[in-house]
Amino acid sequence: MSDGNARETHNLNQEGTVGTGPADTSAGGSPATNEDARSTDARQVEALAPELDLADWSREAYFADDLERHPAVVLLNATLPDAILDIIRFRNETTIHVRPELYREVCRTLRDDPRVAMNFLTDLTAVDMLRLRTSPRFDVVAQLYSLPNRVRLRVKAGIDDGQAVPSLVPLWNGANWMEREAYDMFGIIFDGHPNLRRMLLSDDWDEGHPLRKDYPLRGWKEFPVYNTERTVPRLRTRWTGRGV
Amino acid sequence: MDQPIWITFIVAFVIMNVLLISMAYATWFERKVLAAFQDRRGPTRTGWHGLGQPLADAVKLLGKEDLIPAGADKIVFRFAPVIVFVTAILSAAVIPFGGTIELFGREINLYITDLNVGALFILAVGSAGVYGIILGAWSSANRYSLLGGLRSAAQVVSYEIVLGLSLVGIFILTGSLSLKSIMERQAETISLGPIDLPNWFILSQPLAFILFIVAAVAETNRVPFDLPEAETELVAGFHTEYSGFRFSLYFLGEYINMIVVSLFASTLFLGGPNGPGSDTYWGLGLVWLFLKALIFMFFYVWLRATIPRFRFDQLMGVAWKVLLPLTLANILVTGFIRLIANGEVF
Amino acid sequence: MAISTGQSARDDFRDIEQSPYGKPGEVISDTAAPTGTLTVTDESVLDSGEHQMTLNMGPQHPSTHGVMRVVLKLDGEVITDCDPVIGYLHRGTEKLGEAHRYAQITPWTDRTDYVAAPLNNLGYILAVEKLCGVEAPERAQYWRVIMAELARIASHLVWLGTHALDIGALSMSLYCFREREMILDIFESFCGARLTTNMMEIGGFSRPIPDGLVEQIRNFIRLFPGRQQEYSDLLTANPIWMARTKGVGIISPEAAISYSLTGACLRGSGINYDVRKAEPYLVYDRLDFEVPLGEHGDTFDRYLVRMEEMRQALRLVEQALDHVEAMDTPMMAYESPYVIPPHKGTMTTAEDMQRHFIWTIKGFNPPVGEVWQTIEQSKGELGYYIVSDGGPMPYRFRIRTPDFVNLQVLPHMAQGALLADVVALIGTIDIVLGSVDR
Repeated sequence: MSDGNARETHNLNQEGTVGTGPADTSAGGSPATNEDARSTDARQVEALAPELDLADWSREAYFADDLERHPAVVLLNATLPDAILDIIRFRNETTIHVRPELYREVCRTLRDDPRVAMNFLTDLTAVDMLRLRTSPRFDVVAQLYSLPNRVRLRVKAGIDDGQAVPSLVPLWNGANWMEREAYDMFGIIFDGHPNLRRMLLSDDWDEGHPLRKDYPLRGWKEFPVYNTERTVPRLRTRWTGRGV
Repeated sequence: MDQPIWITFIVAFVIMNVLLISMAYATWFERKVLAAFQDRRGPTRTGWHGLGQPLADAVKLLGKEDLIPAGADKIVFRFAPVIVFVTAILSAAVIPFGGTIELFGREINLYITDLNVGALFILAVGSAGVYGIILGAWSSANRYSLLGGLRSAAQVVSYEIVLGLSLVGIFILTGSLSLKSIMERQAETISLGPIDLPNWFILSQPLAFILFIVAAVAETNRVPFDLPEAETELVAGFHTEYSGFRFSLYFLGEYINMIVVSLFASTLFLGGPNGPGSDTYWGLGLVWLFLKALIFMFFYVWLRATIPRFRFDQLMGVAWKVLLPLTLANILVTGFIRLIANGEVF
Repeated sequence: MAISTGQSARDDFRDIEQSPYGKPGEVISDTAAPTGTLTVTDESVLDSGEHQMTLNMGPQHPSTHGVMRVVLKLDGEVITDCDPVIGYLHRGTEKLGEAHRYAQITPWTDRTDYVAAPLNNLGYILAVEKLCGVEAPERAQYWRVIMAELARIASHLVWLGTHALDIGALSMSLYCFREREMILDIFESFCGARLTTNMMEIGGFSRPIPDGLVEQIRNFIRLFPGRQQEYSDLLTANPIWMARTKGVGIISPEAAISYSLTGACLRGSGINYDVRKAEPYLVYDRLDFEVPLGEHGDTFDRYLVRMEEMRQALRLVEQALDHVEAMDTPMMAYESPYVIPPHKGTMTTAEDMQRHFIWTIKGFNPPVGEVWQTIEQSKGELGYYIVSDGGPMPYRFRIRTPDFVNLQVLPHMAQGALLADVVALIGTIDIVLGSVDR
């Protein structure tokens, strides 16, 4: 019942498509870098599989009112028992809060399990929760998507300022720039990221991280206004190094 | 035919000015034809149908600031565009615009000189022109230019061979390298039963004609072989750093090259000024030559409007793997036919 | 804590070093302690190695489609390393979104991907409607489909024109912009604007459909297939075009998933994922269309996929127009408190004017929660993530633009390619820098 149902849903969704490409998408992950890591995980999952045989893997389970029936939750409870902190459902979207130190493990389990197969990282960003709660300060949000099952899942890890969260680059190459952007905008440090530099702001940006809630909308300092009559004395700017 | 040297000077002066003016209007022609291809109008504001546009362009180019990059080799940078321009003009010296005519009671040759290695001269001068491109590219101290110069060197080395060898068939048939004798040879008529055909070499050497056209497009750095100045990759390549008058020398050189190659091709393959009535009225011969050259100019623009650009490795592949074997085969076949016709074999 | 970031290649680098605001690469926040190595180190500024040359392509370059910089390392013409540098058009749209009321953000979404503005509007509006629990009337949904698919065609036309222009087919860009002009005329008739349309509204459309619009769209539907066939004739069987695109920039299906590619980049590799089919929004589940897939994942396949997508988009426009032409139902879900009150009466009755004024000035307070809404944009999956704290402005406003994510596959594709291929690869990813940098 388990695998067959997911497969069936997949086929239903393929209706009316053309082309004969390899549509089997259950194997995610970066092609070369994570080969060994994935194989060990696959073994883990296989070892756990007998316990989970009785669970419901159908598409309905993803949207059931009982949040504990959600296949991702079932899987995580069996493999990483203390990972889940909270489960939220809003507008038919499920959010799982997980422990930050297990963040990558959770995503790896969800990606590599053939039944849940959350193999596509749609988005990775962060939210500064400064005005909503005291601790932890940031939520790192990954939007996962299962290409075979056509369901979404939001995985969140709450971290404090200065605390590192495991990088997802070893799992998905696509996380690279998204994590760099989150670092750029929030100052979140991703442990294990190969190249954590500023993404959208310039390399020499020295004003902190603009999407934090304590960062004022107009920045920290005054910039001289160009092309107007000079009523203030000349001052050196960081842009030109010359007087304006 | 001998004539006083001062008449030759006058003819040369006239030909050079006609070339410069026709170059200016070649840009107008290209713009207009390209616009027609692309469903737009081209220049319309300067004079009737934008005919004043070349003049406006010239004024604009001459009025621009002459920039020399700080890291440039200044002497070479100043000298390089002149090479391109001079060699382009120089190759027009051996193109015959007709035979000898009577004007004001004097015999005047409608060519500057009848070099007995005229075709070779054009090829030699044409490949000397590439020094202008390479030196200009190197002296600009710009990496895009450098890449453009390297591409140009490789391209000219490959396509020069094809260009030269594609003409060997004609030389075998004519037995001469002089453009004037090639032209006169084509004025003959061959009779195939009831039909009289002109002895144009496009009929006896069709493969050579195609090969020549392809190689000539590559020689003049035009689409689809415009790799040295590929706008979208190299941002104008070898002349990225040139502006004002120095740029216009490159520009002039490119268009004069196009015109000279068109005239050269008309002379070699389409009989030059030969056409109905050209024997009686020399002016008609000039018109025929002009129209034949115009066909080639149109072909240049047509290519530009239609096809994408080759990649560097593909360009070299086409030259060495496709064109060169074909030219060699053409020479072999032509040589055999010539030998058979002479009765030296069989 | 000082970190070693890549040095700026700007000319004024030396001046910055002496500036009172700190040295480049010095991050003031204590929390910044990134680990790992850098792909582009100081060597990108100073040449290293005997056979390598660093070429700084952009940010002013005709083929980077805007202000993108690609630092290339070349061995002859072969690329050994490639590092895209973006952010020159960063305007802080996400930060701005947190300071605007919900209805005010729509124009900002226009300015992210400015060649497909109605699609950006649509994604944002759908996210807000999902957050508030509003559903637009059926007729408005059909009109949204029409406008979205026309915008998809317009966006693909810009892609085709610039992509072909990069490869050297000069005329294609002019042909494509000629047809795009017709679509922009339709947008102009519909909403008054051509590029940054600000077309969609929360709850539907509050303005009536102008007279003659349907004929205008019908005229486009009649003309476009022939025109597109002309493009096809010019390119698809052209040997030079095939030589330049076939086998160039191959992305395997595994790599496409790993790089989180969406849109034609993903489908060109043969993976069947189109949000319109996978998670139908609007009325896409009632319309008949097909999702083209590639086989080899190279530039030519992505070209074919996008060409077919244009045909399918035209089919969708035609079907939706057939449905909507006879409809005479309301276009706006006025019964919802989250929807702007009717314009009718604002100039004559005080109550209407007050209601309208208050809504415009104070906005509305959606429920507390967070939503993630994706749509199939012309370049891939466009996602909006809105966290609401119950206030009139979003607490967090995240735009997941497809081309930002897709662009990171460029170094993967460019490895070992030739310099001339880089412009083809940038073209095939189909980026708009306003959308990449936001």
